[in-house]
Amino acid sequence: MMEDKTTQDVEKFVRSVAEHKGWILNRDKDFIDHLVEGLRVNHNRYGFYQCPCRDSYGTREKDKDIMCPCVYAQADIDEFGQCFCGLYLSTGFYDDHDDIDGIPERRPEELYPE
Amino acid sequence: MFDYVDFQHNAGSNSDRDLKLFALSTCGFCKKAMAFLEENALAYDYVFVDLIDSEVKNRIKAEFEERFEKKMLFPTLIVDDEEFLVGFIKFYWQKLAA
Repeated sequence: MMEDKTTQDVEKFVRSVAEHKGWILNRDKDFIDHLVEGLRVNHNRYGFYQCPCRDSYGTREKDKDIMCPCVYAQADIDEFGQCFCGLYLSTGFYDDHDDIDGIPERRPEELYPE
Repeated sequence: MFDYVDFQHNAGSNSDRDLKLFALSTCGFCKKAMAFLEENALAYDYVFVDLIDSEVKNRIKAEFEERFEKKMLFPTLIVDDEEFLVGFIKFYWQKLAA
């Protein structure tokens, strides 16, 4: 049985993703803490880091495109400076924005759960 | 719409419009949306769809898609059962507070 993730595990995970991808984490600590908690909850629900901002099938096969970091994140960061959740940012966007809004969904509608 | 949903209610001094918020408990922009409604004293009903029975969740999504011909994303705010805001983009949400 898979061991539950702790908040510290998830913080380490998101920092590692950001470092590996050359992204930067949002500076809004309350916002980040909420997303980290969402990722922790989802990991312990489904067994993988499912995007906390999208509805889920709850299966690795059908949710594979929205496992954090999702397959849409780089394109969103390139176009909008942030991923769909607002967790990961480009460095330029981070420098210029104190607050962020939502962005359009890039995931095709046909991949959404019925 | 959505008469079968067990909404939570958040009181506010401005209840001019019927506001129904569909959110994920795990989502950052859902949290921002709720904070915005509360900061602007807007009364609203809400439900975290990831915390309810999946059959009810699927019924909500199906009803939304039938009515508005779009997949439901989160957060979604339905205004007076007639229009909706999707995602938290403050520029659009500020019109509710005007």
